[in-house]
Parts: sequence; structure tokens; C-alpha cells
Amino acid sequence: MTFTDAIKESRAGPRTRGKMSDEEKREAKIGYAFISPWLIGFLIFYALPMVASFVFSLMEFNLATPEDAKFVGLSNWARMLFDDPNVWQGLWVTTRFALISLPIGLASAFLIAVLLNSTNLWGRNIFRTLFFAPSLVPFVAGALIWSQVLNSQTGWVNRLIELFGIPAVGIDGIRWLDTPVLIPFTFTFIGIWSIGNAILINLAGLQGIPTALHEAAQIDGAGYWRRLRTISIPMVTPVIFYNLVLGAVGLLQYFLQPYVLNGTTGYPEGATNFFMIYFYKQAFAFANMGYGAALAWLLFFYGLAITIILFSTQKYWVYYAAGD
Amino acid sequence: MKVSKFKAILLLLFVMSLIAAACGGDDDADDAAAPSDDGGTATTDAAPSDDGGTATTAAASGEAVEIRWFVGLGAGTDAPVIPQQQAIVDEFNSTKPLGENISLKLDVAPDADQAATLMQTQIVGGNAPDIAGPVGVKGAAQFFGGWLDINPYLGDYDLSDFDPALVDFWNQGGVQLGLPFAVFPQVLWYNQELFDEAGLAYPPAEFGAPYVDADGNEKPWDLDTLRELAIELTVDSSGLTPNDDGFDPNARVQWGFGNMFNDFRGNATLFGAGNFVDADNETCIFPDDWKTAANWYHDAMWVDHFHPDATFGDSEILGSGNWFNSGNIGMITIHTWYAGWGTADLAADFDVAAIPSNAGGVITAKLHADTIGIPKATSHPAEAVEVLKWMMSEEIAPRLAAIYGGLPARESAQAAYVDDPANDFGFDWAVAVDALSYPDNPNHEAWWPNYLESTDAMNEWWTELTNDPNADVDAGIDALCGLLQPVFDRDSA
Repeated sequence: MTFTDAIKESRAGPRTRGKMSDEEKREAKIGYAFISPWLIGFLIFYALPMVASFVFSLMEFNLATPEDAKFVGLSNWARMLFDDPNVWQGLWVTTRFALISLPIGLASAFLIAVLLNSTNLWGRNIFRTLFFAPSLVPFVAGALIWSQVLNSQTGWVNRLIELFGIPAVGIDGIRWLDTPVLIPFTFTFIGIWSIGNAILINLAGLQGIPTALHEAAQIDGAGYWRRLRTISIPMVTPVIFYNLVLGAVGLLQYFLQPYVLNGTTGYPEGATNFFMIYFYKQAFAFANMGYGAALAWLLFFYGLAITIILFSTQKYWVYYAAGD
Repeated sequence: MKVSKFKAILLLLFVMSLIAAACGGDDDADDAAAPSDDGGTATTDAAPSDDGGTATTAAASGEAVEIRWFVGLGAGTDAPVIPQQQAIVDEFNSTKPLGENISLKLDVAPDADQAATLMQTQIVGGNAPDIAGPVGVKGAAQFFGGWLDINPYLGDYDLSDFDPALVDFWNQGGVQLGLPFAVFPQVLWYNQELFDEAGLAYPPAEFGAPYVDADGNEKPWDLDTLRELAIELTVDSSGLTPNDDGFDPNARVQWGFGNMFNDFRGNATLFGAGNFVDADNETCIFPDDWKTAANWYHDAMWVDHFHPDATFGDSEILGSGNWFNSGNIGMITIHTWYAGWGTADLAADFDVAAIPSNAGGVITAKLHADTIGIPKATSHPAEAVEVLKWMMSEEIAPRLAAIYGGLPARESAQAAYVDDPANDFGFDWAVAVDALSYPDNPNHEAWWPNYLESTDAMNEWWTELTNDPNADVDAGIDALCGLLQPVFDRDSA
């Protein structure tokens, strides 16, 4: 019996719980002992703070004057859902950015991984290192560098574009960080610079595909693109799904780049008023912990809904070889 | 069954929120830090007596009290100044000026950016510091409502050495947060090399004096004259100024004037003091001088091209934000806290000059003043005030001011500070001392409703306006109060 079969069998019928033997009790105790660090950590650092933050969301609670904290029922929630346009703007800006950035990021990571997996690529290890290296640069330092590189007056990106005869420098040029419609693409561009981790995971997925599959297809006359489409991509869909879920959740919490590049002003025209920026302002800049907690819960529910939707789609496109 | 589980969860959450609300404090509960109505002895061990001294304090009853001085809300976290602050603390602990039972402990926040959050966490955790500072108006605003009113504790404390306006400056919403100990007046800084290259005479050092040009002609030293000089000092890569045909603003390599490190209230105060809230402290207004200022700055950036916009201002050609230090700007206005570190990389000679007047002849040199406050949540308010009085004394306060590069707020100590070679930063301090006679009242950082959110809303508005070359400034002016009033109203609510 394989491990998979054992799991299937264990799930097949109703469980009957008999009296545990001494051996089973001993094993259970050891099992609990092993997972207890995680359980304790989860309770202290996740479960209890989550409960506390929910309670805070029902209170008017300013960190500077905790003695004035008072229970306000659902008024924070009502304000958030019905009376604060910044909330919906934040959710829209974040969602729009995710819809643009996520497909581009996933496709780029996969395509670069395919390239780095190619046996025809000279100096593969060098390229792998080079593509991964930016991931090691701290985000803040990276963002500051990009702010100079993309400066519409003095940055070298615009100066490079001008070499091709396209007017890019100056007030009427390409203002990467000042034009609302460009903002999602600019931030996506900055994000692609540090997709080394996603590339690495895709690469591991590609290298995990049994070579026998490719060899058999080759013998049957399948060319490179056919094999990529019908073997490589389906076989790495679990990896793509993994990157998709993590990417979606990560983008909902998108904060650092807009914070470093545009502060908390939302400039230009609210295009950088990401939800997390607004949450940060309310909770930590204005010290409105009650309202900030309500915002955090809204983001949690939003992220949960998106994750559930993504998981519900996996049966249509994610291929798990172990299921066959 | 499912319904009952749901009800059980709801009930649990409700009970927990009630418990939390009950633990959150009672509005009617006695505030340990509040003085009694008669200002005399009270039931708490922290109340002041009539003469401003401590009536019944823990220290007086023989209990050892350690006063913790939290540093990080303003200056004080840089490595070089920490030992100097520690020396003050050591001196207190060795001389025991308030008796054997009171000691002082320095607590410097490891990260200045996180200091406010750290102190908030300490307050919520029941471990509030006893003294916190130095802190400016913005830093103090993050704890609005959380500061102890020291007025009832001051008693007959001699305030004659302080400018009354400065003492009143730290009275916000009827609460005396602290006493001023260091002041940082604003002056005009100019790059002498760029003036020489342009063949321009230097701006006047004396407040109210006229500008005398290279040919000996006198002009009033006002914002129009400053604008003329600034245009002459602005140069593109071909050496052309905005007055020349063919000037390319996209190829600028030198700027004439910039008002550095300011929000709009700070910028606009060059045109006169004001605030966005009316005397009723509720209604949004837009002062006329500031309407002029909004148009002037927008034109300076996009029409006259002598003031850096954000794109150039953040670039390396202008020192990534420290414009004057780059050597590529002729004049800036900034406070004296810029001395030393601000010009560390500037090779050219520079000096400071008087602030120009507005069109009505009014000079406004805006002022920063630091204080040290006492969190209301301290366990030892009476002892903390006594320590604060010691820190604000004639002997200690000037030394504290010097640590942070500020002119002592005590007027008797200012001359000695200016004459001290240790405070020679290559400019004429007499100009800065004169600037103290032209403070902005109301201050550009003065209280307004919902301080932090209002400031944030104003910053969003000004950022949009100044980054749009084609912005309709008058329409923007009309729109601001529409943005601010709901934020004000939320504070009233």
C-alpha cells in the first residue's frame, strides 16, 4: 500500500474511536510535544492577537490615551463600510494592482525559469545567480534606487528611451511615478526585479518533471513548444497555483514600495492609496487602533474570500500527478 | 445545532468585548495625574499643593522613585548625543538635587522612526515613561490628550527668563505640555559662490534692512526681490536663466530658491502667520496671505522655474532632498537645526540672511521650539515635574539646548551660546537671534482639529497641487476646506 492509498483508505469510511492503547497514548503525547511549540506560538502570536484585534474593532481606542478607550459597538465597522470612501478606494487600488501585477509576475517568473532550465543556455548557473541576486537587496534600498532610476527628469530609464527618439525626459515626458495610469505598471516593473524566489520555485518544479515524459513525447514527434504546452506547464501547475495564492495574498498586503516611493499621500490622484497604506495611517500614524483593527479584519475577510475562490478553481486547471 | 453554535460564538465575542470595554477605563474614574479642584492636597499621591510643590508624593514618603526619561520623539537618538544626555542624567544621580529618593534614568528609543509607537505601546502596557522629549509640536500631537498639564504644578516657578509667547506656545487646548528649552529660528541661507558667479550682491543680514544690489541701488528686501534674485540664480545646462530665450527648464542644473523640509503651512508662513482653523477652533478658513503663497510657490516651480519641484527635488542633482547641501541652489529658508549636519558636504562658502517681508512689509521668521513633556499616564507626576523643573533650570536647560543644537529658550543664556566657539557653524548667529523677534503667531505647527489627520489631508492636497504643472491653484484653494472640514468635524464629534 502506497502512502497515498493509506490516506485514501483512512478517509474512506467513518472513523471509530476505540480506547487508545498505552502505546498509542505515548505516541500521541510525543506528537503533541513535538507540535506544542507551534501550537503555543500560534495561540500567543496569532490566535489571541486576532481575538484582541476583533475586540479592539468594537472600541474607540487610541494608543496615546488608552484610559479613554470605550466600547462603541459596530460604529467602526459602519464607518468603514458605509461612510469612508478611502476604504473602497484602497480596496480598488489594491485589487486593480493585483489584477495587473499578478499575471505579469507569474508569467515572467515561469518564463524566466523555463529559460534558466534550458540545456541550451550557456552559463546557466551564472544567469540563475544574477536573476536571484536582486531578491537579496533589501526592499527599502531597492525602492530608493528605483526612485532615482525612474526619476522623470534625471533617471536613466527615460534617458535610455530618448536614445530611441521617444521624448521621455521632462515635465511632458514619461512620469513613471506621477501618472496615475502608469503607477500599477511602474510598481509591477519594480516588483519583477525581485521575483527571484518565484523563479526558483518554478525552476524546482520544472526540474521535478520526470525526463521520461519528455523523452517519450520526443520519440512520438512532439516539438519543444508542444512539450512545453502539454507536459511542462501542466506538470508545474501546482507550483504556479502555489505562487498564485501566495502572490495574491502578498499583493493584498502591498505596502513597502508605495510607502517608500510616495509616502502616505496617495499621490498621484490616490493611485498609491493602497489599502495597507490607509490601514497604516489609521492604526499607526493616527493611532486609531480601534478603526485600524476594523480595517485589518476587512482585509482579512477580503483575502480569505479571494483565497477560497482561488482554491475552488484549482480542480479545473491544477494537475496533481499523485491523484492519478 | 448549528444555530446554537453560532449563538455561542456571538455570545463569547460579546462577553469578551464587554470585558475589554470594562477594562478599558472609566471616564469618571479619578485620574492619578489630575490636580484636585483646589490645587491643594488630594487623595492621590500625585497631586500638587498650592505652592506648586509636591504635597503627598511617593518620594516624600521615603519610597525610592526612578524617573524614566524617554528620548526619541524628536532629536536625541543620534549616537553622538546619547553620551551627552547620559552625562546630564549622571549629574542628576550624583548630585541628587531633589533628594536621595529620586533618581533619573535615560531611555533612548533604538529607532527614532518607531519611537512614537514604542511609547504608545509602553503607555498601553502600563509602563509609561515619566518624562518624554525633546519633542516638537508634531511629535507631541501624536499624543494629544495624553500629556500632563504641568500648570497646576508650576506654582511660583520663575518664568521671567522665557519669552511669554514661547511659554504660551506650549499651552495647547488649555494644557501646558511643558516649557520651551530650545528654539530654532528660521533664517535665509545663501550660497555665496553662486551669488558671486551671478554677480549678485548678498541679501541683507539685518532684519528690515533693504537689499542693496551690485550697483548700489536699494530695493525693499521682500518676496518680490527674492523672486528676482532667485530667477537670476536659476541656470540650465547651457548657462541660460529663465529670463533668457532658449532656457530649458528640463535641463536645469541650478535653482534660485527653495523652502526646504516644509509642509504647506510651513511654506505659506513665509507670507505671514496663519492657520486653517478659525477662532472658533472648528471652522476651516484659508488665510488670504496663504492664497497668495499657494500661487507664488506653484508659479515658482512651473512658471518661473526657480523653486525645485518634487521630481528634481528628490533627485541626486539636488542632494536627494537636501538641496542646499548639493551646492546647486542659491537660497533656502530653514531653521537653525540645519546647522552643521545640513551643510556637511557643501564645499562653497555660505552665510545666513534676514527673512524677506511679504507685500505688506510684514516679516515672519517661523519658529520651532522644543519642549520636554510628561505623559499623563506616568505613575509619578509630581516627581516628574520636579525633575522637569531641574532640567529647565538656568544651569541645565542651556546645556540641553546645546546638545540638540538649539538656541536656549532662556533669554539670559542666548548670548553665551552664540559666543561659544563650539557653536560656530560658519554663519552669523546674530541674524538667528534677531529672527526670534519675528516669530509666527499662530505658529505654523499650531494645534488644529484632528491634528494628524488634518495634516495628512493637507499634505495630500499640496502634493497633488505642486506636482501638477497645469493645476488650477485657485480651484485647489477653493477645494481645500471641503476636504478639511469633515476631518475637523470628526474631531468635534
